[in-house]
Amino acid sequence: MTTEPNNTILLVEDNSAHAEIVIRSFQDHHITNRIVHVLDGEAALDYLLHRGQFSGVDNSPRPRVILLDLRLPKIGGLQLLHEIKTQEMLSGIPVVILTTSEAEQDLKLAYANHANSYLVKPVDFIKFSQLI
Amino acid sequence: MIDDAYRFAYANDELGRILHYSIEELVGMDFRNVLSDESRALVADYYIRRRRGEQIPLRYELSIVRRDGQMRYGEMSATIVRDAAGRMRTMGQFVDITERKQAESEREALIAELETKNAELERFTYTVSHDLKSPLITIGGFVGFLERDALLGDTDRVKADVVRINDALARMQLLLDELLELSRIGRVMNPPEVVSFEAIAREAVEAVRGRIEMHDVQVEIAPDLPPIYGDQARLVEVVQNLVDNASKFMGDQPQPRIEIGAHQIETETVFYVRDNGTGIDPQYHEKVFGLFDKINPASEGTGVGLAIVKRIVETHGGRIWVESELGKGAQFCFTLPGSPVGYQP
Repeated sequence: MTTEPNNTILLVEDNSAHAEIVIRSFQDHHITNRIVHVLDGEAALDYLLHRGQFSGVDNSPRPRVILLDLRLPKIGGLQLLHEIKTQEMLSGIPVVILTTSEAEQDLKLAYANHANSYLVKPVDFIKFSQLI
Repeated sequence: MIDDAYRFAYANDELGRILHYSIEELVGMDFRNVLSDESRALVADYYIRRRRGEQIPLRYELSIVRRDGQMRYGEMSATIVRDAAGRMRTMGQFVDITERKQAESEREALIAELETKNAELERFTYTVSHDLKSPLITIGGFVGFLERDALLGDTDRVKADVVRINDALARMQLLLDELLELSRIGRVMNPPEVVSFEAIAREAVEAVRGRIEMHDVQVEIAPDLPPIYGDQARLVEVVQNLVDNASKFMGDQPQPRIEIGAHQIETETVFYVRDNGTGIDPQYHEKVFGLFDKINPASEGTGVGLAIVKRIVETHGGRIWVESELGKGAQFCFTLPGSPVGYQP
């Protein structure tokens, strides 16, 4: 199993327009990390645990950071965060919450669940590079 | 004043006015006749305790029944006295606090309602601001890309950017329209009338004919449906939304089918819209009615439809729920009190 962090970024975002904004902005700012975009929490876990559509370890290298939108369908963003931070194999991966508002009540809960940081949408890439 | 046989030995004008009896009628009457059942039991208990030598409260609340049957509430204060002939009597003073109690309970009800509405408003505002912000972020992002792509002369990308922007605008428009509808439901209802549920079902199905045909769905309306009492236009919206949803979530069903009908469950008439589509996971059975809580965000719709449906049903005094399992279709059930009971399908 590949455990070396590399330059993959896992983007968990159900809004495909927002995801496109992130991906294109990264390209424009010459951020060369490979971005893997999944639409919901289940797919994110599939990726992280190398199962489902991502079975085959080479398909899903361990991401260097996870960008997580809190408002996700099915498994909610907070629940996914909890899953990630309570699994030994995954808890070391930094998780950055993407939120529409700093005042978001869920931010407090996110920090309680050991989110590493947050970014307010639309994402400011200077801030993002500094975070990394 | 009460004698030791529970009779009024004396009563003043005021007591006569409260009870709607004349003093002549009251004197000699067993005072327990004017007590409510609850107060009668309380007084009996006090008498027993007093005879045992226990202390009983000198002041307590009693409910009495007026001559015309109306219930009045009062504060009773009682003392033991000796009358002119030296006999022990209970001297009571009764203050009518009925209006005060009524005002208190109305106040409590209003406060509770206000708290509920406030909580709802907060949740609503929070949800709305997020869900409207989202398309704004999209528009902001793609206007930026649009400018850049236009300057680079990349017309394909320009077109794609414009599509993203227009989609976001349309979404905001739709959200706002539906929110307006949702807020109106509580305030503006047409006067209720007796309407045939069958007529409502037919009108609803007609309104979504386009989608029904697009998905090749068979729709069956049960015969002999009962009439109901309510706001016809709004009830058409209810059935329309449910049928529309059912058609959208047929999945791979080769013979999609929707049934609209009613059946009797104990004393209630329960209406249903049933489909044989993809079904809904039980963990989401409450969530489906939540504002903007879409189970599958990629599906069409704003997530407001079922919230509207729920609001309409509840404004009619009814309840709505869903019975479903993944892969086994869904049955949306609702009651409309005011529908005649005793309906035999």
